[in-house]
Amino acid sequence: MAENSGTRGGVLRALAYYALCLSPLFYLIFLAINNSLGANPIEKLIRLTGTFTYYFIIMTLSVTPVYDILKISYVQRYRKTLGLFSFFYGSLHFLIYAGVDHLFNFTEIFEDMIKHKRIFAGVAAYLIMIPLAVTSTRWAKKKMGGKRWKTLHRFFYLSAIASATHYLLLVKRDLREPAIYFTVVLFLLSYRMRYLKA
Amino acid sequence: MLIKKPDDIKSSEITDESIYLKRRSFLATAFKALTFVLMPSVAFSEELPQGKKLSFTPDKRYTVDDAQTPYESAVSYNNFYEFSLNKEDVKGLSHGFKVRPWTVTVDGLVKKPTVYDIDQLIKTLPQTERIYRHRCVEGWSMVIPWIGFQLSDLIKQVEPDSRAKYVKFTSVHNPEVMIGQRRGTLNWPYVEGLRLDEALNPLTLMAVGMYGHEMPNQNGAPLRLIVPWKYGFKGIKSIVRITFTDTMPVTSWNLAAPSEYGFFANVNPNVDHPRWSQGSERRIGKIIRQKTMIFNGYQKEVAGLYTGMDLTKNF
Repeated sequence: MAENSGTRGGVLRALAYYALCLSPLFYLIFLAINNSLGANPIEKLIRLTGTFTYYFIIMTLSVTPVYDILKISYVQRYRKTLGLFSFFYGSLHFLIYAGVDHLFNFTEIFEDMIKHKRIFAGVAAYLIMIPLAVTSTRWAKKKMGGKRWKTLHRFFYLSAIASATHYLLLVKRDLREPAIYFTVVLFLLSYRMRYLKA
Repeated sequence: MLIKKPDDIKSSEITDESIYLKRRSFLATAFKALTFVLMPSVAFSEELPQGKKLSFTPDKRYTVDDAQTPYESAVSYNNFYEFSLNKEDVKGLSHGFKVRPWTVTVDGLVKKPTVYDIDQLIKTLPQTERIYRHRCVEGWSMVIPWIGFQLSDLIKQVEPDSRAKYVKFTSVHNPEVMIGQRRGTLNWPYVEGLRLDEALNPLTLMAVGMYGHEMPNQNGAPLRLIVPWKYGFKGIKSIVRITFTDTMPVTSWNLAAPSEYGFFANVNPNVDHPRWSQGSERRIGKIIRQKTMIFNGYQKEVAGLYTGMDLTKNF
């Protein structure tokens, strides 16, 4: 939730913000009803939801550096929602893989995970996000205590690395895109190293 | 009633005619866009086969019960790295590719090396239609009615000598048009190969068309190889040279990633690709994956070629 949604301007801003975050989903729905997902629509949906997850992970990780460098304090309000939208698109991505490719046969998914490093990295990236999403409420933060909560939520960095690895292991001949993503993630994480030491 | 005289209307208030017309065209476009969103079935008509019709005899021995892949899917989802790594971009990028005049050189360990003109080749060899399953190593599959001639018919004409053990195929090298070849994704030109007995198998087809018509550029015009019991990447496209050799040809994919792409590349649900399973496939047009068959369902015809071989090593 955008924190200042009490005022009328705040409500409008929050609505615009949610519409923006949901626009990738609207885009997918638009493609689907227009029959524009191509010859292999499931593959395309998996690929696009994966891409959107990366975008949101990068945006989430960018909040702190953007605040530090540009001193725009309001960006901090949006970090949690960006993180939750990473989880949202990651969930869509995982649900299509698990539900359509494997018909929720978790034995099969487990075998796939053991045999293929790429699936292992992807599933790990997703599983790590679940406790973070669950404890994203203010109530949970209070209940856990700020310090423990913070430690837990630093696992988002690990999830980001796992998802970057997941992508890197997918591509066979053209590594440019996953390499860019991996570099961006590493860059954003290296920025935080000084916080981790503190 | 007050009727304003023309002088009373300031010229600045009069809508310019061009703007007035623009508004009309804007409304028309908006309306079209709306129908596009609301009625996709109306907005999209099915694409019909393009190009010259071919004459051929349907070969009843080689057909499958499975539904044929819609033409539109078969021509808009192509792995043709010479143009692009993106399967959906190949159709547009290959549009300007010229496939006539075209010659195919057959040389190497043969008694009668020959340079064929493609149209002469099509005229002199019997053309058949065969409906084959097509399985890509990436885990999707199609069912395609190919038109072409049996490779064995061509091999008989050039008479390989006793030293010939393999057949090497080479694709065209044309980086000016094939923009994918400007990058070193693979070793260009694309090279593929078969063992001579595989090449002589009656299933092995040199395709010049599909769906009753000439081969579309994106599918490998004017001449491509079809080996239905092997993964799609063996089916080399736009062939310019066929060479008979005594050593196993170094093929493009095998050279690029030997641990992932073997020389044989037989469809085998029991041998996984290092990065994904091969046990199932998604038939284009279907949502749920189906089980992959050993040798893509052509076990009866080809299993004998590999007796005594360990298919997990010779993948």
